[in-house]
Amino acid sequence: MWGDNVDLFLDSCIIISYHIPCHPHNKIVSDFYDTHNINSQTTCKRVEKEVNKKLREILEEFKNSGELSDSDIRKIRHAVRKFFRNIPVDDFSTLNTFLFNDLDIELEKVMKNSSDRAIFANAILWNLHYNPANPIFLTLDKKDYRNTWGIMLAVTNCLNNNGHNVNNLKKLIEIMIL
Amino acid sequence: MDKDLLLLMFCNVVNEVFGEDVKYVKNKTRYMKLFILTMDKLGEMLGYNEISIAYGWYKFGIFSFEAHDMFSRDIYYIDPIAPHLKIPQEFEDIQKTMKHIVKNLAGKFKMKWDDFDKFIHDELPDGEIKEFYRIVKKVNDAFDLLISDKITLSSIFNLGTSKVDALRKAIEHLENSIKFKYMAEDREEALYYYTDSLMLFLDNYNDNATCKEILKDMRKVFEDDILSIISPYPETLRGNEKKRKVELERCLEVINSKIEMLYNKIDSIENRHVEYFPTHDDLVDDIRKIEISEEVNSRILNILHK
Repeated sequence: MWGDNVDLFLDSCIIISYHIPCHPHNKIVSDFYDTHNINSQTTCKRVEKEVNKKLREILEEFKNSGELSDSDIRKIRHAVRKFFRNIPVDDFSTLNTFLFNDLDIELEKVMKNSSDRAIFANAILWNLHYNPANPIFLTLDKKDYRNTWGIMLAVTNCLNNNGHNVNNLKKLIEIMIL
Repeated sequence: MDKDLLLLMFCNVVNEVFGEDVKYVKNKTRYMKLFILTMDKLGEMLGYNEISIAYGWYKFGIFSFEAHDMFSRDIYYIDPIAPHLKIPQEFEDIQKTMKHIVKNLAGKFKMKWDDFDKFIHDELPDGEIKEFYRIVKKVNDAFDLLISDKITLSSIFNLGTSKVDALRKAIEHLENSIKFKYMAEDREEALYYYTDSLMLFLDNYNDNATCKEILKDMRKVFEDDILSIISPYPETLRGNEKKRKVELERCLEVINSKIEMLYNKIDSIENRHVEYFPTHDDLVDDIRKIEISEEVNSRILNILHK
């Protein structure tokens, strides 16, 4: 359905779940990586910050539980850091702050969480700027991305209102909820 | 008080107090440290804002970026110093006080390297700072012991494992003792990037030439980059209020660039020796094998869904 050679924009839950021994999430994300040909992947600074914050909490929990060895905890932390070292991470909102703010206002009608809006608006600007062949916003967040149709309509309206011809894009971003 | 004037007075005082022994103190490190300590005592007496310098505890003891620059200029090593400047009469009392301070410190500055080192890192600082230098020394000693080819009793009986454990313990001790106030998250993450890499390497450690090379590289990164990043300099700045702000800004800039260098250096060491460092794929495979209880699992899911 999604085809091969996907260009991914990763939500924070994906990166966290990929790196913690926490079924079923870890398995879902791992399976995705195992079964897809990934052409490129990226994320924004905001996601990196969110992941770091959650990771601290999770590692603290693991440490306190006494169930993981010191080496296991280091493996998790180092894997996440190395993951971020291996992919380009940018603040895409700086590409067009006006459009970014406009997207945020438009998305507010369909997405409650301000952090999610900022991340998704980053993904839209990434798509607009780099125009990858098969852009996919990858998330585990069923709750906030339930209304995919409404979200994409809000984005299309906003882009059109700002003079961006959506037809010029190879593809408008697709939201993929694992 | 004007900085050049303070310097002139200080240099005159040093020449006078040390006389022929001035050679002991006329190297950059000692000269700078004596200057800072003298200014600190003077500040105690006159008020810190009267002295135009700020300083804190850095990689190798008391330090000031500005003083470091000042003593990097040759002029202060040449006698007579800055002959065009005359000390105004009203400062004679201050110069007398300065002379008194330098006299009290002179003995320490004539000491041999080891004793001087002990004075700077162990006698001068108190509490947490002293502990910081002790822990850093422990890490350095543990590196040296593991790198050196000296055969010790423990290396015969434990085939080197105790030496690896000593380094592990020293690193853990370092991690547990660090508390940052400025750029806390960035500095902590950088430290962990280094210590995680080192500790995971130690899990694969063999007593061979390649591993010793890696250890030497890691030790160099510790001294060149980690120490700049984790030193309590921003947290311990003292002295002139305005200068404190300048020093803080300058230090944070250095920390920022050191953090970037650190990440690149670790990546480069890891990539050169993939046989001893786990790749991202290796780590992800290992993570999948970790088993956790239902109870912890549900607590983690709670954090994820928050």
